[in-house]
Amino acid sequence: MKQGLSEQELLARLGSLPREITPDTDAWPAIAQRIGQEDTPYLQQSSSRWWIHGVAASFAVVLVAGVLIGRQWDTTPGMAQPGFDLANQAQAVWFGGLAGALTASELEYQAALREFISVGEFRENLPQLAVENLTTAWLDLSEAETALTNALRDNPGNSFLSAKLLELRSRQLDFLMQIASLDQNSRRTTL
Amino acid sequence: MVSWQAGCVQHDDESMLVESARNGDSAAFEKLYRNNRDRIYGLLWRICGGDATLAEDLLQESFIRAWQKLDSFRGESRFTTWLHRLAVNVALSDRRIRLRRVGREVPMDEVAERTAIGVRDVVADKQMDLEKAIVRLPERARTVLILYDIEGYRHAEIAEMTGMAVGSSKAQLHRARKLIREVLDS
Repeated sequence: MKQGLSEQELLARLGSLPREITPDTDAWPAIAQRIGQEDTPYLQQSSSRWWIHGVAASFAVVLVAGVLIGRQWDTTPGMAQPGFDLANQAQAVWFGGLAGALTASELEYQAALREFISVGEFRENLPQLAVENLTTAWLDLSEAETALTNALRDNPGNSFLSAKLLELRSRQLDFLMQIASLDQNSRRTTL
Repeated sequence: MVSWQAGCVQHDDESMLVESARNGDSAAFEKLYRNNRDRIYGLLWRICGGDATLAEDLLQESFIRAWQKLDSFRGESRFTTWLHRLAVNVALSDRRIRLRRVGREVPMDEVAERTAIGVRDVVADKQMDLEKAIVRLPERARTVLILYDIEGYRHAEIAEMTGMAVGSSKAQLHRARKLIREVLDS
């Protein structure tokens, strides 16, 4: 009867396999060409993230314009005159709805953020470059959030800024959901 | 004593090369490539199931990634250790391998046939049957076997790199060894 391979024999054979194997082709010329092209590797990463910076820059412009216009709107004497009561009432109704939407959005955002933190532990399953890009995008959104909340602190009740915060929360929610989706896909393909 | 001194000299050389490469010296980086190429390729070739073309692509990608991330290498471990780990991550995150893992978990006669020529090319006759048996293993079982039994990683490290639980890693290793023994005994 044929004697099977024991565990020890198998481990010994596995241990004796060569660790080093020489490839058929030398990869250095291709590597040298690529690292020559991206002598400063971060330039390439920056160019691939141009759209994120574009969005962030556009948002900053809108934000600054919003702050300036908002201040002007709130301090324009004509806006407080009796002839504008109807407009003020409409604005009050609109702002009331906006405040409600903002509150709901905040709750949804906090819930999504908690979920993101729990699944985010598996981010090592994503490619490093993707993690870096996503991190930068999130930091950009966070910077916009800081600027916006600071502006709102200086101008409490400013409807334009509140609307912008609502938009920002929507973007952050989308972002978190995409991350969660990526993370789930990543786990599915590695488990 | 000789090997200890040789090891120190080698380590110092490596540190200097890394420092030069970090400052943009591509010649120093080429030396790092030459010193580590065969070791990294051997690892990738096995993870790719003997697919030489894919392994060469990943070898290139690993060194490009290393060049890009040299700033994040803090010298807490040997450069070779860091590079080895980076190459494993490159391989495990490669889309082509992921697709194969998801789509074709069953034993891959087609892949085995395609890679058999590569196996013959690089492995001595004595071990060819073992390499062929490894190539024919299901993707996850093969990855765990290579990382644990050949490359010496611990289950916790494998679990971290592959995203599977430690228990799954142990189960896959058990499965891989059993399948290999079955193939070699048949």
